[in-house]
Amino acid sequence: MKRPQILSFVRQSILSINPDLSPDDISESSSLTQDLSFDSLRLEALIASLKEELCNLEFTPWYVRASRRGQDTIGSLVDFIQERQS
Amino acid sequence: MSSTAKPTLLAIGSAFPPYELSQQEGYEGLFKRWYRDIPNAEQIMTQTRVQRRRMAWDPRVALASGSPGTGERMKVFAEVMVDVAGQSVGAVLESAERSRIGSFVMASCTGYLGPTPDLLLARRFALRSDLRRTFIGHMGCFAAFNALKVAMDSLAARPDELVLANCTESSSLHFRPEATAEQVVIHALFGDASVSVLLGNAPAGSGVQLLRTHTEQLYDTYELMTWTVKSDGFEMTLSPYVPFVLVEHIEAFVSKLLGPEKLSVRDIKYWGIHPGGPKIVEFISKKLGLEEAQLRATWHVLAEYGNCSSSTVLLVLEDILKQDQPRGGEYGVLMAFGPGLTMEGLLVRF
Repeated sequence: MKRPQILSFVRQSILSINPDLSPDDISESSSLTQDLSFDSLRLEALIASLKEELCNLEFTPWYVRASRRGQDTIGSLVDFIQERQS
Repeated sequence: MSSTAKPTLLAIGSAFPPYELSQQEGYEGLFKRWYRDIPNAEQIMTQTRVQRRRMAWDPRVALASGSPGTGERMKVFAEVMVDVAGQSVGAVLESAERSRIGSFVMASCTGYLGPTPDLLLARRFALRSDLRRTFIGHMGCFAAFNALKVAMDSLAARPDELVLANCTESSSLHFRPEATAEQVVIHALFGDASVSVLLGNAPAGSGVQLLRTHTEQLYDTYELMTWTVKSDGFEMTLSPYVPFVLVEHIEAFVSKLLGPEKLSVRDIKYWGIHPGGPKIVEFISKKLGLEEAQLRATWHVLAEYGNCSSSTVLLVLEDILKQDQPRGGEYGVLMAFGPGLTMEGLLVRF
């Protein structure tokens, strides 16, 4: 999957998990927890959806990166998935 | 020592400090003011599933006019929690042959004084003057396993002795008023408790046998949970991604714990998962396919006492023994997690 496709898939997943968001709310710099207010249940749903699509990729290195304040952005998630796929 | 003798839990006892606060009392009396600018603070506190906690001081009073210095907080630990520790130690020494107690290991990450509390307790209970003492400090929620591993090593080296182990924690003495969503979660979870155990080598049928332990350090995740000494108490940080990391490693971890005994998850009836927070328990139980009944004690301890750091998993074990009354030969697993991230596990046979 190429980067635009990964980004599109992540955005669609986020919108399906939180239908209250509009596509305009979601940019690459949006932090899942701080800007989109994703709680652990929504994060769990998002990760489950990504794992299902991406053959059970291990996300621990991204969790480490994402734990730094404001770093759990959609862009960093997409970058991570792309790195792991290459 | 018989060739079938194994490290065995001969007695377990718990004690709690004097103040009991329901989650609502804590919120209305203190946290509502601290977290007035945090959206959903009350909802966050409710979602922890903690209903009440015991505390060494009443934070509504102690923290009403500011954040006391670490020295003042440690003074309360020395005055209140060492006595609470004495109550739990006294409970397990009631019928013990004290002259056989050769080692005493104590863990705490919330209260420091010197001489260390284990010395004060050994003196109070007139334990042997050649007692081998070990104080385990600052390791966090999994430190009961470090205490138990020291005890197991002691019993391997000196098979005829008894070992006393204790975990005493007062997280309430480290409540600090930073207003962030992360701190709301932390301040909603933690409580105080002391649990003591007496261990000795014994044949099957004499008590809970400690069969084996397993430890994993996930070194790259060391920033996800921290416990830093500040001038006004200790500060905890906790990434919301901790449960996600743990669940990604739990199956391999459990395999390493159970595999050498040729056991699998299905062979384990009782699971004591340190309730660091509800998500950790929910995620792990879902991943391992555990039934709600297997986690009864875990949820009970979280609701009734909160996360009491290193004491917690021993409270869970005590509750399993009292309420579930496992039959001889049934297996149980205890697990706890903390800074590192560190994963600790213990396989027991009832």
